[in-house]
Amino acid sequence: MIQTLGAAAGWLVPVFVAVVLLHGLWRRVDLLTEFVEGAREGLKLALNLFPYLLAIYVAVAAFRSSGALEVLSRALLPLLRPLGVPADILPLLLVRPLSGAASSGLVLTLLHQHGPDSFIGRLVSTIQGSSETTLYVLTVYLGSVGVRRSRYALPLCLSVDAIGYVAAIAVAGWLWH
Amino acid sequence: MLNAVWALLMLTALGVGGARGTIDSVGAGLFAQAMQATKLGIDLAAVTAFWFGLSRIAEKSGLLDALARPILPLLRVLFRKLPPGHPAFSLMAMNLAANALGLGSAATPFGLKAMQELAAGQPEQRSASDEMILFLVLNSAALNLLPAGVIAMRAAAGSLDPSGTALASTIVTAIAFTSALVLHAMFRRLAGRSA
Repeated sequence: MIQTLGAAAGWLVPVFVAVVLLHGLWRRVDLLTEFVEGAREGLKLALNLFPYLLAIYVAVAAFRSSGALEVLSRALLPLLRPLGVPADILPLLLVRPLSGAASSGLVLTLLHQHGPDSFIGRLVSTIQGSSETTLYVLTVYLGSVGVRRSRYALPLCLSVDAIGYVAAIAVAGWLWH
Repeated sequence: MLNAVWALLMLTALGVGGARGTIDSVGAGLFAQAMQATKLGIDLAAVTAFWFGLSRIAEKSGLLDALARPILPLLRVLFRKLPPGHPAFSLMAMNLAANALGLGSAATPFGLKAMQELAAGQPEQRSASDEMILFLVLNSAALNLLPAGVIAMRAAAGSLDPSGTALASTIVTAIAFTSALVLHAMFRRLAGRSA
């Protein structure tokens, strides 16, 4: 069952690309012109992201190679083990609601260091793919209409984030452990 | 906050490195890791550019618009206080559809316009209305069908199975989305009428 779903997931991207291109052709969009324009925006985004990636990659690598991560995970083990949280993903859980760029950099770092198809690699992919930069969204969206009092928005959104993280760990354990 | 997290990571690494005699490998690693990060950054730029190119075609062809349509009935049920023809509905649907397909760049403008429409019918604009907060939490629970950014990152990191976690993300967002609805109802009751 899981293997079948895995095979179906391999089709996801090619089929999506084909649908977008065919629909664009049908609606007479200038495919190449628009693609290039969009790709230019994508490059700008990647360029903005790069300094964050560099900063976080070096910091996490140093944190690991110094042995600090080992010390930290040993200290937190009694707390993390009952919840099934691997110590390697702690920084991601802390940073995810705060900054999209920093959490992308962190995910990429973890994918590279553990291997994208390892359990940690798949778990952080699931977390990143199922969560939002909550604080950023709240600040920008409410700020854009001049709302000062956010009432229960922050505790609500952070609770939902926490449920999402727990669910991601459970689903990843169920699928890949 | 982030500044503190980064500084803490760096300084702890250097401190622990000094204390445990691993400072040599930490020091030598700094520049080597920076070069590693740069190679990774170039791969990421390539995949991101490709995805943004594609997402712009989907926006221009009206595909995004077509995908937003099935979401409308659900929104009418969730936002019962808004009159059926309220302009915020289609904007919120476009925002959620773009988010579901991982087209974050397309999602934000729709989301911001939706907030403006929600604020227009709001007598007390200084504080967030229940409708605004519901939209925000649905947005941040981010029901996701195709986590494009993650697929791009996995591909850049050399995965043999870049879209292999898409299904797991969809399951998790479905759980988050449902709990967002339940918790919103609870928080709303606890908060009472907006003061």
